[in-house]
Amino acid sequence: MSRRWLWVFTLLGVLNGILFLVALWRDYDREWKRYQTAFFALEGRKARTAREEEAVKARRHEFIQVAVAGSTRMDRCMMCHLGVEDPRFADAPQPFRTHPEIPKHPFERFGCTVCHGGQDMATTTQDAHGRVPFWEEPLLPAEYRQATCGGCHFGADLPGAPLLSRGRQLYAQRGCVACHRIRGVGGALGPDLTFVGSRKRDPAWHLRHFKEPQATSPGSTMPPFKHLPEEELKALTVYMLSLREAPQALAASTPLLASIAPVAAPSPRTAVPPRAAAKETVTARVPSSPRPVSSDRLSRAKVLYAEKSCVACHAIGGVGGKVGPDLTAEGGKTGRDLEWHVRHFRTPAAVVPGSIMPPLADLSEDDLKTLAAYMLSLK
Amino acid sequence: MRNGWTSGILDRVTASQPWKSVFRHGYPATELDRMATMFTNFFLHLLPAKVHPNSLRLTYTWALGMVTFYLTAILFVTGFLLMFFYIPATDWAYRNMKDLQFAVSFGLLLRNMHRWAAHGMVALVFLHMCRVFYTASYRPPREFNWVLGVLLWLLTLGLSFTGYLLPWDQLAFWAITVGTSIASYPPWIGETLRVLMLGGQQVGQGALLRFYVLHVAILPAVLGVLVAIHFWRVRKDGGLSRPEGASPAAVSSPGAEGRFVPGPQKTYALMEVVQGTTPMATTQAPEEEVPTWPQLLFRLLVLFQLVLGVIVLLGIFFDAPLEELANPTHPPNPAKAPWYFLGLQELVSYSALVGGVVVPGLLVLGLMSIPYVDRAVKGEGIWFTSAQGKRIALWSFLGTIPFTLGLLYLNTRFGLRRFFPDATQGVVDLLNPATLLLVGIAAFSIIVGRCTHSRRMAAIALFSSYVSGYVLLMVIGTFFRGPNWDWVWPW
Repeated sequence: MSRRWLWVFTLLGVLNGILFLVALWRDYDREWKRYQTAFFALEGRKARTAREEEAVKARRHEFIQVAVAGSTRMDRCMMCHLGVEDPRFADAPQPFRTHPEIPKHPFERFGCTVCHGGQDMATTTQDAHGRVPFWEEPLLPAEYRQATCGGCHFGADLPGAPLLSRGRQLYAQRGCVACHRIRGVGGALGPDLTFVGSRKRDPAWHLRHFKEPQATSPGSTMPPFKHLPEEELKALTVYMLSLREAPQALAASTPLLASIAPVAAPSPRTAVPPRAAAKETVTARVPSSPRPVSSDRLSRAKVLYAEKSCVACHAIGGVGGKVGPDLTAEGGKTGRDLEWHVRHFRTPAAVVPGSIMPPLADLSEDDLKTLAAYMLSLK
Repeated sequence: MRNGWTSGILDRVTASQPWKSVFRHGYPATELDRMATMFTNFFLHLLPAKVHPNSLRLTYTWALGMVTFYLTAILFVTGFLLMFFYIPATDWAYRNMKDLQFAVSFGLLLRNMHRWAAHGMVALVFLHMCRVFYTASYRPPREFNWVLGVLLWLLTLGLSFTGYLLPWDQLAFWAITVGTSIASYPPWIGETLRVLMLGGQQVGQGALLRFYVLHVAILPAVLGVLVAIHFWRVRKDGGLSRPEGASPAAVSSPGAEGRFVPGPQKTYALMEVVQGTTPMATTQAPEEEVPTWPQLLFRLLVLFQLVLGVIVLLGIFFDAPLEELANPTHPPNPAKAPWYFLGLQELVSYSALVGGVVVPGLLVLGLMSIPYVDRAVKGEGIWFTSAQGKRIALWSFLGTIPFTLGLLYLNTRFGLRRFFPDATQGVVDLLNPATLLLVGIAAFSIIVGRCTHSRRMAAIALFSSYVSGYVLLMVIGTFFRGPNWDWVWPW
């Protein structure tokens, strides 16, 4: 009787022992150790003096991490990417290749993920490169990498990141700023984009959204920007991806960044008045009408014109965007009466086939008539 | 093995005074020595010196209580080790999980084992409770031990719930947000209760610290004390409950060491003194019982190997989930409570009052009062008490399924709000699937009680229907509820 139980006990004990060995092996056999072994071999082949050879032989597997200055990031990339700081590995295969030097950005202070994305604490390729469920910041593809520069360098012109600078330029030129606000600057018709790069991290999403906003954001009233060349859309995407929550502690600990306030004064290129100012400047600059329209009504119309961000796409007297038709002489066009304008505001595409103008559906009948009267007054 | 120089050393060591001061007896070879060891050893004296064969039958207890105890032991050990790597701060908690996964030796295995053992414990405590109920083992003198058992079940849920928050990922954050909002439904005290639990208006640093302290200090301490009393009472109330009557042949044959012969040193009789009407409260003659060593002890050791093996196996091959870092501004849709509360969440979706207050309140009160309602003294230790009880349990369990599904279907098709969109909350609280389910089950059990003239049968009908209904709602909440708590198919 008890002998039988002893046998069962022993058998289960052996099975549990095997399980323990499996656990032990899985714990010991880590991917990064294999990379380190391969790297040591490579290093041994590159050793020239006897002393260097000795040093390589003495190397053991080790846990390497960079505490990114002042942030909670703990980059462990260099456990496999062992050659990043060693110029001898410039022609080595990845993951051992030397990283080109970035001035003023020593790797031991900045780590890797601040610029490259990925999962800082992970120690397996799959996890570290962030291509796993529940990690929101995967490795950024090389063509969009300049986006991360913008995480810290707001506002300043960046010679090292031409695509980002171009994106910032285009953002103002193409009228995006009329509807979208970034760090308190810009219109309020569309969503605030200050942290859009933290919310939408996929470059493909941005490209698709520019071309066909309703496809990615159902119900969006943003006009499509299909007509822009691919190169411009890419630059804009880089800019969008750059709008992220800055590693604040890092910013504070770095003199270069500390000099730039988080809400930076807009650089001359991106200078567009904030919403309140926009009302004044736009209404002030729009040429006053030669046609008699009651001044009350006219000023109301100009407020509406500014509020609905019409200026983003339409120009009057040289002020405004070029996405939609110029409105400087709108009142002189034949066949367009008050009725026509009101109908057009409500359903632009039904009146002008192919129009990409978003409908002004939320305005009251009275406001639409006011705006229409303003259109007719432009001659 | 005892030959040559090794036996010399072994004999020397075991004969030495320091050794003997620790281990007072050698390996007990005779039955008498074994009983003496059971009695004098601190760890073994938890068990009686002799047990009745009927208590040993696997199909009687399914060893559920002991497995629960083993899981608790595994949880304590893995929990203590995990504490070395965990800081209960919102900035660190999630990163600690990543460290466990990527940097700490056996870190992920420890976390996985802790997770699966915890889920297993929630399930097994409940199954153990079902076993005790269906075998009527709550009958005098064990009434209060049943109440202690209900409290232990609540403590287990509390421990699991507080532990749920600690990884500080989206799953943890929103499960606790939903769970604590269920706790806020009782009128007057609900909101205070929630704020007291969270240390603030929402889940944050305050809540994390409170849940941590509850999880690693207060609740385990209370659990330890209650488990000790629970075990103590089992011993004092005459050992495990068991059916009366002849022992099954398979177990009754004593060990190969030979029959126990009553001798002048009947010390075991003294060990068996328990409270009761006579000094020998155990009505069985001691000769019918078998020695705990080896009959029970060896079974327990094998069981421990089995439980440990299963948990390690689960820990090696299935990773505990870890979602994104907790983000209070980005709720998942739907946000779900831990699985064992999903039945309640399903009920809350019909009526907050019923799901958040009435059902949990009645459930706990009802469970605790079972031994005081069914006051029969005899007849414990038989599954479902009788063939009639077995039939009632089966049909209650099966019948509740179409009843519940029918109510849910009626609600989806002809819900009250569909025809009276502005019906007051009071009316909705009265007429919804949750209330109707409750009333239906109660009425059914009263009818069963009337027809059979037995409170025990009524209790079996009530208990079975509740278990069936709750498990069904839990399954629906887990697999069939999607965004906005709408119906979805799990595939």
